Amino acid sequence: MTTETAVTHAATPIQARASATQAEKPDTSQWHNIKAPDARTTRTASVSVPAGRRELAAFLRNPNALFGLVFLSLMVLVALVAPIVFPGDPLGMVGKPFLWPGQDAAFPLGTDSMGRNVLAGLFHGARISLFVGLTATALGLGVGITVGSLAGYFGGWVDDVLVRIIEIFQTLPNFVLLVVLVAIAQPSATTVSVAIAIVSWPMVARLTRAEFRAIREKDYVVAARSLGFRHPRIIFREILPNALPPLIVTASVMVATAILMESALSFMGLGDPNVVSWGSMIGNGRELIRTAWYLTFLPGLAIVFTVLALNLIGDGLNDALNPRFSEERS
Amino acid sequence: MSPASSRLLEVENLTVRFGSADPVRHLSFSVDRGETVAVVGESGSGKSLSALALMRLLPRNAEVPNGRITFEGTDLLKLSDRDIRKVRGREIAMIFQEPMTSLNPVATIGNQIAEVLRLHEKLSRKEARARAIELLNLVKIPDAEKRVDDFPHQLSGGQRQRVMIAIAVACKPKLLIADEPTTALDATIQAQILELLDELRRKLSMGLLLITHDLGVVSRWSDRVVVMYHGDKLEELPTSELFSADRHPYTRGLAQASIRLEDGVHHTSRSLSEIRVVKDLDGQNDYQIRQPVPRDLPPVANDDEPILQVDGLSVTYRTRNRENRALDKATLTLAKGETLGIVGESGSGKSTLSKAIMRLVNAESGSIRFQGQDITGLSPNQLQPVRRDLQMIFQDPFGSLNPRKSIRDILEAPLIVHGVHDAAERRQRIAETFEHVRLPLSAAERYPHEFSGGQRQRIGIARALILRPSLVICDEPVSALDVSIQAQILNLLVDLKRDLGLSYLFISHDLAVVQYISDRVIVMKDSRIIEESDHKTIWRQPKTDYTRALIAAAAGGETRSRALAS
Repeated sequence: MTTETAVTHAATPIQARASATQAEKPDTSQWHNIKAPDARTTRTASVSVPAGRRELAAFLRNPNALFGLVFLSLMVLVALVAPIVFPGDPLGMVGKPFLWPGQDAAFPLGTDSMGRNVLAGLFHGARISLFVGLTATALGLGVGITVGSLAGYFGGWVDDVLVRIIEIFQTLPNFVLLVVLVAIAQPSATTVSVAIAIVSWPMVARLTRAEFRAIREKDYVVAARSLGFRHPRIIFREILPNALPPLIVTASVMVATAILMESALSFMGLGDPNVVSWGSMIGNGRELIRTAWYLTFLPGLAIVFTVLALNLIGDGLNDALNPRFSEERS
Repeated sequence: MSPASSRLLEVENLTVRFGSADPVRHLSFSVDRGETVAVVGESGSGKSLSALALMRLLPRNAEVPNGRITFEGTDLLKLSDRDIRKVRGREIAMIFQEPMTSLNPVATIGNQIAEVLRLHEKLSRKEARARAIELLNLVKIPDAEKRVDDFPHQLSGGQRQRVMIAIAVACKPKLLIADEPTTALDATIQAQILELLDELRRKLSMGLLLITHDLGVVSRWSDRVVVMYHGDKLEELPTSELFSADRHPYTRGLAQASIRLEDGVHHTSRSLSEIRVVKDLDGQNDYQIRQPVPRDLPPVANDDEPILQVDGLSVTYRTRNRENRALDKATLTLAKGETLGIVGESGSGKSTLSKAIMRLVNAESGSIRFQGQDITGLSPNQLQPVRRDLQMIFQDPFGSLNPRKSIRDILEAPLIVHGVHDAAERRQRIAETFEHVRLPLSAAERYPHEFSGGQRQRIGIARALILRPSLVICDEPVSALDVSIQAQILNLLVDLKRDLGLSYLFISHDLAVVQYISDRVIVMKDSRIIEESDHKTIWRQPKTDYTRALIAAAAGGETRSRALAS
């Protein structure tokens, strides 16, 4: 249709850029068609921070979220350095049993009934807890987002079928299903992660589905369809970025839940018997709670603080992401 | 002008402050008993904030650093929170724009009316219910005795607005503030609601403060007009002088930019005036009116094969237990270079028609031929090349752009999808399109929320044009925009049509806009096309009663000012 204009504008990229900078200079004259700036221009001029940075700033201003982030970073560091600081098997008997914390400088947090180093156990346990927490969440998010977005985007019979499947999983009590799954499979960190992902994806799927159903009707999605975008592009580039804020918040809480589930499994002796985890440490110390309470208290403290940190991060993300989200929706 | 005793409300020197900004500055005006005063302005003019300030309903972070609001001798700004609550609802009542959300969806309308009565007048349940029915009769809800127990979702938009009015006038207030009371309603309903308000004003001898952007409404229903722009009152004048020549330039600009049906303006005869506000050297606003010179359009080629031919197109929406025929055997043709206007009220099926042509919803029967090709049954893959030539502009400039993508991403994605793999060429196409819609290239790296409504609509048009289509479907492209912005966008659409040789399918509920832009007009009602005619005949010799009613409702805006003037 515009061979003529195409010819006149057939400039090299450099020329195009030159004209761009030229265009920016006399700003008022360039906007010669905008005669009566309405209120939204003036209102939004002050918040013209590129998308994302405002949320980050809001997140970092929140002291609770910052504490959560610092503590979690510390835990990640602990998990990473565990094999360096405590080489060898944390399940190995290295000292006298029942050394209380501070009793022996070599074992700052004492030893357990078998003479195993508690501090080494906590360090190595962090690896398992975080591995399970992150892997299970990643798997759960992956499956949940895929199923939820397909159901929400396509609707119709796809939605009907997928929602029925989600409901089957949701009607089973989570933990019972988890115990059964782990009991069937050979317990290892990987199988535990997979089992936790299997019980936790339906929640993500439901949330994603709800978000997609709302966003699917927006004009920019209709516009994308009318431009001939294919389904994957619409789902991943147009809708998903707008559905992410609540999912990010959920993800942080999911990591916390996964860590708790893993600990509960290990406490019941259903975890991997060959590795130390915070839950198994509590399980082992449980019978000695009157005489050596520190054996349950210390790993318990690690779980409490890690889960708390993750929840604080989730709250912080919620606060940081939601105001903008609600503004866009109104 | 009138004796002091008849003065109901006197606003003096009112300023509203949010932090460092003053969205309303030194506003003064008055309302007499039984008088209708209109406050006119575009979005951001501060008209709604002023109304909220009267009721002391401003958001918490707002303050009123100076000013006086004297209502029947008492300064409302000095009243305690307790005392102002007694004024609200009983002495001064307010109705809002959005009848869909301002009623509580889980309470019956009877209870919602009774609640106000019981709060202010200590009536018993039974008495309140009787009064509620009385009020529903007053606002002309048919079968009031039965409908009193209905929930809001069982009522139409116009009926809900009537219930809102019933709640507002329940305690016989002395002043009624109506903030854009009819903006969300269809034209025929709009006229009825305004007529009702006017009748109630006379019956209850209320003062009426009408806040609106619509000069047609103002000219018909008000006695005096206060014109506001960006927080400043520009002038106050009797309504009869609204369209006279010696007004403030901004008022004149507004009057010229708003299209009125009976003026019979068409894009071939003249372009619309655009208001330009520039700061002069003293920092004062300088208002200029510019009327672009109309340029000749190539004549519509009638002998060619039509670009679009729709034959017996039907669409049915099915939900689990309900079928809804949204489009019933629509037939139309569109010649190359022609603009076909489609008029209809909400629910008439005009949006469904556009979506069906765009193949966004599937047709149940009928056929769509586009550029000689039957596209009714094409698969998504086969449709891909068709989409390049067939594009759409959306109504809501705030909802049609993905908030998480920069303008460059928004414009680049269609090019990538349609196989323009050379980055330099994409850049050049974007630059070219920006020039067409008159946006600076610096806009490309910004995000949608940084733009105003009019600018966003330009971006939406740019997205439609970037693939260089031949037919553009415009679904209410100016309905969400201010009058002055609307004039700019309409001028732009006309320019683009000429420069790029486009054909338009132009959908709107606003008859004046359709009259301005269309070469031919189709009227839709209840999912059917009921009338079709060229742009001159349809306004002069409408064939159906429905079209006549539409025209009467839209043109009614002028009759009163004419009567007053003569």
